[in-house]
Amino acid sequence: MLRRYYKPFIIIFAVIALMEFIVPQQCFATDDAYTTFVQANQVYKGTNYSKAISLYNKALSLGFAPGGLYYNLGNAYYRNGDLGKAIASYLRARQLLPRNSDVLENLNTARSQTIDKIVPNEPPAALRQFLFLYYKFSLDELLWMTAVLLAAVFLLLSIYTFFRISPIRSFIKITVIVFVIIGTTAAVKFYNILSHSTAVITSKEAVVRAGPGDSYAEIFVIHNGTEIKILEKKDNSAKIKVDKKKGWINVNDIDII
Amino acid sequence: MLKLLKYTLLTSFLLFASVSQAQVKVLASINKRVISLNENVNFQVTVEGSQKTLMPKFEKLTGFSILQGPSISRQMSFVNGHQSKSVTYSYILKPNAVGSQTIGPVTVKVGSQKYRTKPIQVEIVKGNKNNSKNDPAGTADLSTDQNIFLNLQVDKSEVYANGQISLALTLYYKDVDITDVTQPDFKLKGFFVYDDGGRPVQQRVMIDNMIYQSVRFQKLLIPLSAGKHKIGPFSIDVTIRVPIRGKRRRDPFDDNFFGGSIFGDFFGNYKTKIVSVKSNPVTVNIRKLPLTGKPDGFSGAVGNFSLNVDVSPKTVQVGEPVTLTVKLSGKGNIDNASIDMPKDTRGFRIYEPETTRDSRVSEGQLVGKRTYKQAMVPTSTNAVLIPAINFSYFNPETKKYVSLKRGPFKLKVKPMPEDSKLRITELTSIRNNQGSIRILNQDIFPITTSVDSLGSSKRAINNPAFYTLVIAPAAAWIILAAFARRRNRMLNDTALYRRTNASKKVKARLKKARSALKNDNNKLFYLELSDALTHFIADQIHIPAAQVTAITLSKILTGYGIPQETVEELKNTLEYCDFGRFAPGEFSKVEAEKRLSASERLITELEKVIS
Repeated sequence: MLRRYYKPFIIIFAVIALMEFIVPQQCFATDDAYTTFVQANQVYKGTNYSKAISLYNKALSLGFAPGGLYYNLGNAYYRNGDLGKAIASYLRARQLLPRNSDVLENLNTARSQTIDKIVPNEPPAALRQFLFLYYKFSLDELLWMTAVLLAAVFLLLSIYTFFRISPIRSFIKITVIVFVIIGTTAAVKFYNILSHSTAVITSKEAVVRAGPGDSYAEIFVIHNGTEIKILEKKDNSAKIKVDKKKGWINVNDIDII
Repeated sequence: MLKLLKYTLLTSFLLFASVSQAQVKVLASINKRVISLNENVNFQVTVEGSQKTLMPKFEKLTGFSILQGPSISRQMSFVNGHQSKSVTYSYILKPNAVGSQTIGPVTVKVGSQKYRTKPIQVEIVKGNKNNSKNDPAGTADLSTDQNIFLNLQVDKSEVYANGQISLALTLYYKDVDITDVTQPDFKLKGFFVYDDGGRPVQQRVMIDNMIYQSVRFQKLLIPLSAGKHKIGPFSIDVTIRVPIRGKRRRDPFDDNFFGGSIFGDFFGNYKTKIVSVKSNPVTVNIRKLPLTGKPDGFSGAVGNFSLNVDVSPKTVQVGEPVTLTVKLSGKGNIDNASIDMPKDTRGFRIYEPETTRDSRVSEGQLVGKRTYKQAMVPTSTNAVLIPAINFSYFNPETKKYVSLKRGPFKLKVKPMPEDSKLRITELTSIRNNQGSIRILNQDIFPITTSVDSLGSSKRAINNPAFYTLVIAPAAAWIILAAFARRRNRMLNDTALYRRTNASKKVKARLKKARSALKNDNNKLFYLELSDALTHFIADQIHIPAAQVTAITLSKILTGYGIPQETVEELKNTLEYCDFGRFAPGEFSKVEAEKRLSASERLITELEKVIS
């Protein structure tokens, strides 16, 4: 019975094999970048923080960008007294390593030392527990889960095409539901990260004005390390929202995540 | 299961050895009590404890003549440093007359002393006792109760509930080659069955002047309820090796027919047989424990126990623990015995006792030990008295209840020194502050250097494997679904199926026609060529192949836009084939070759036009 079906399977395997071949194998970060990272760690331990910062940034520019590097960079900024950049780095690290307790702890430590003491606009713990998929998993993890689920759906569909067994149908239904949930979460997270709507004040003191440009009236002043929400960007200015107040700020004063 | 055979010899040696050297014993034994005139009886005189003996002398031996013997075998062994010796004189005696005859007594001089054995009665009957002609395998002997039997014994026929009964199930056998014995199943309702520990006991015993081998299984029973209980009967399956007697058959057919003879040759003409041996049942009477004199707090322990209570240290400070150790030991079902430990004693904080329990069967008696260890912490200097420990049991020997009491125990409790009081208050003040951690210094956690906690540097959206995972299964499904659809259409749409397979079929037919031509098989050539064309046309336009003939051809093919000359040529070819088949004339190979290649060309043309 199976002999009749072998043909399409051969085609499929051939296609998969071909795809693996055609798609260029992107190399992992070069040894060079990793060496730079290791070097930066040593410099950090030697308490030369500004040198460490430049080395971490060099590793990043060479294409080596794991969450741990952002975390180390954040530490280096923190030790160097650059609270805003430290918080920005920790936030980037958190995107990649959302369950890493060191990252979360250091982010809280850095936040507690900001001047403005504005509580960042984050949902309460209960909601974060409920939406654990969004808050406890990184975008990459969600994307991989989505892909695996999608593959599972098609695999089950393929099996169902030939063997119409009812348990497979219910399997497909369940898989599709889980796929939709995780896929939606991944999509929302993807959108939020791509929209770059969060930023951190990196200058010591930043003036928020009524409109884009220096000619507008100053509304209020915010300080290093405060996290803000970006509503829109125009030229060199960004419309921000912080603690229910809105205004325009110079992009040089902020680091957009 | 037991490998009895192995042990039989060994144990017989050991048992003879166990007789002490100083004690000399002379025993006479026979192997059969009832024999027929043409049988012999084996008579043995065994002297245990010495080897300095003279030949035994028959005081009386009427009705028998000595056929053979005496053959002398001396045995000597050392067990645990004790030397034991024995001599056995074996005679084979032949009866001379029917009736009850007496062997012996026999006198043996051992050293300077003379020993006399008891006379042994043997019954001699006429003719064959076992009709051995009808029983070539000689199995009749084995089924008799004399050579193998099972005996069930209990040590007491009357016992109190919760008391102990020792049970012995003994298998006796002689002149039987036992290779295997199953363990009897000792499941009994209304009893706790304890293993006696150790393996079954093997012995040589003399019953009725005959020596038997015996295997004894021992169990200890604790009756749970009063009343008359029947124990057994038990049965044991015994595997016996039986020599195949009589003439050895040489006929191979016979061998196979009766089976086993091939193995018999290998194993010296033996076959095994499983015999189920059943014991006698035994009834025991279980008595209720008397109600009179039953002490309070009697927990059901029956036996003979002793109670030991120890308190240490006797002098303590407030807050320091005192250990109360209670040891209960003795004969009887200690599993049923329990002691009430002090639970709610004023002035003490009491912890759950640690208990250990150990019970085993020793020398046919259940003995056990139970220990309680309880920590008691005096909370004030007023706590000076640990209450008494009570335990009561029923002694089945004296038929009386016994109550044991140890204590109460006096303690000397000292007040706590001042500085330890301080420590406690300090601790409590610290405890009260729980819930808020005083932050000494705020600092960040160190950088990460381990590769494991770094996380991946590669993003999924840059990873080809990710896209493969998304696309490949989807593509696979599309291909599979398309294939499945096509297959379904083929199954449901015959016209399509015929059309799709028409060219494949026609090729096969033309090939056949070509090979027919090669082999000069004219008839087949015409047939195949004609079939190739008609079937191809029929398949293409989905009509029965029989409808396609040279006459109907032009009618059928109208409306498909086929050029007139092609139709004509087809018609000619079909006619040529029909002529060839039905009006055989001169066969031209060249002409046939031409027609064949023309047909191939025609088919390609038709395929193009029709589809």
